[in-house]
Amino acid sequence: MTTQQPQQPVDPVTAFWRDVMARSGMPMPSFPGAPAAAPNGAAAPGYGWMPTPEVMKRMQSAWFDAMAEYADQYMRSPQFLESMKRSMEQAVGLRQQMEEFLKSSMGASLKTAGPGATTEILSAIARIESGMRTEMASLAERLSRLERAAGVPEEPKAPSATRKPAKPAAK
Amino acid sequence: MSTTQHGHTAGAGEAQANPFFFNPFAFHPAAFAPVFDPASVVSAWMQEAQAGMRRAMATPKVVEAAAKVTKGCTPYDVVMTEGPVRLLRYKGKADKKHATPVLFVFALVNRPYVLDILPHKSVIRQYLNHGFDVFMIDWGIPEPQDKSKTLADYVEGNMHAMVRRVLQETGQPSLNLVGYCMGGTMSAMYTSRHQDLVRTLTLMAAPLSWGPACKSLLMTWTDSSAFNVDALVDQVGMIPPQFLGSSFAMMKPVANFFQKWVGFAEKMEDEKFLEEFFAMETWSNDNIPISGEVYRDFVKFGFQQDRLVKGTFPLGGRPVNLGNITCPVLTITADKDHLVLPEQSFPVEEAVSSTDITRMAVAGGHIGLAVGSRAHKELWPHACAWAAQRSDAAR
Repeated sequence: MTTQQPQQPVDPVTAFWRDVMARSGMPMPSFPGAPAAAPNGAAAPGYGWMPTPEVMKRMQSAWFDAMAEYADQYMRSPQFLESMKRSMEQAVGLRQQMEEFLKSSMGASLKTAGPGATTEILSAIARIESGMRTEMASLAERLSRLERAAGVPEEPKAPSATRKPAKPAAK
Repeated sequence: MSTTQHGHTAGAGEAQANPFFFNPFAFHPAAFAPVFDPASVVSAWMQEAQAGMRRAMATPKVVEAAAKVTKGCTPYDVVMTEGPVRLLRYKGKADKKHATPVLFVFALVNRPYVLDILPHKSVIRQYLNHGFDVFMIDWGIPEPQDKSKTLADYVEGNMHAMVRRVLQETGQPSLNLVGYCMGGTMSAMYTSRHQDLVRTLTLMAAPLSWGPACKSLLMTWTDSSAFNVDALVDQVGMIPPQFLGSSFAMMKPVANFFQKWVGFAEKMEDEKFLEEFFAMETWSNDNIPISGEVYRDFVKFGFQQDRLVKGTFPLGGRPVNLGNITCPVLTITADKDHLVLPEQSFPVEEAVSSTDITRMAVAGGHIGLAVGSRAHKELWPHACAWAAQRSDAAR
């Protein structure tokens, strides 16, 4: 009969290293003071032993996997989300302050339209252009339907420009 | 276990619970090799050192490969432009077998040449080689004045004009629409409004549902309790490319900031690897800004309110009703996609009225759908055949 011992809470660093070891398919390391014996009971060599590159790669891969999982968990945590929210609010607030400062001081001293105003005007033009284009497209469609119904032959299409993929940068 | 205030002595149990007792050189060799052989270990490290030297000698090849990168590999004609938006028509060498053309619609957050990144990894060439007339909408790089451009402007404005132009160029009544990622969402929206012009709808890793079953990191980050999209858009207008790029990179920080470079260092002697690596690096760093209004609509009505499959996503003042879609629908997903989980694409199958619905999946990630070797071998030939079966034959 086996008795299950209650699981003791472990700190995140210990949990992380345990996870790395489990992923790399290795047993937990032996420690100074712990009996050094192989599973078959043979005596283990001393600490001068060095793992092969293959073993190191396996450990590296296990470390990356465990790290990725813990990073994902952290980025979903309320602590991370709270700090993300605060940083965003601060960045937005700072930008707002800078913009207000530039508007009030630069605009007044230079007596010119700021970049914000120019963008607003261009946006309005773009909106009008987009609306007009949509309207013209629907008119063109309607016209071609009428032309087809009236039996008017279609106009030849305008030639299109030919492009090749971008050339590599000069060496 | 014995502990004293000074001269701490740890028992095995305590040592295991404390990471500071970790000694990497204390692993039992039985864990690594059946028989410990110092000579073989030294030999292995010598080989590793030699490989390191070879990699260092390959540095000129790396520089050469980095300078050779091209953005797309298949020649094309620009058949239409509307501001920064262009309609591209690709030139294939294969004979045209299908009269119904194919139109690719890419996301607004990246450049579309990932679909044509290298000759052996080009989705565009897959369709060309199958005998299709292939077009693609290149949304271009939006300018500051495009900050107030809405999703409706793109879908009902640019996209509708480009679809009509494709049909005019080919003399066909309808086309095969292929949307990738956000382009898939836009394609579904478009099809719901103009079903008569769409013969088939292919949705590649397209987010259409953002319900509670979707546990992606983006969903967590954009939750309304943690992210005020209105404050951001009102302040910045245009969402900067650095914001989007770093958000995507941070979703897999270990892979993007560490593993990628470790892999690069290990394979930098391989010319083919270098070609693919630099092509992908160029594309993944080629981020573009996105209109604030599009971002607001997508985050608010999509990520935060999941209104698309519910039929209440507003587009140009009217809700999008996916139930209007009756054409054949193909959903393509990648099982390890961390950006758009497969569960975000499948609900469209319930929302549409189509009876011809096919699902294809491939092992890999979000971008692997476009550039993965497995996708090009196992997925695209079938996806092309699916569209071919539902297209008119060329005369």
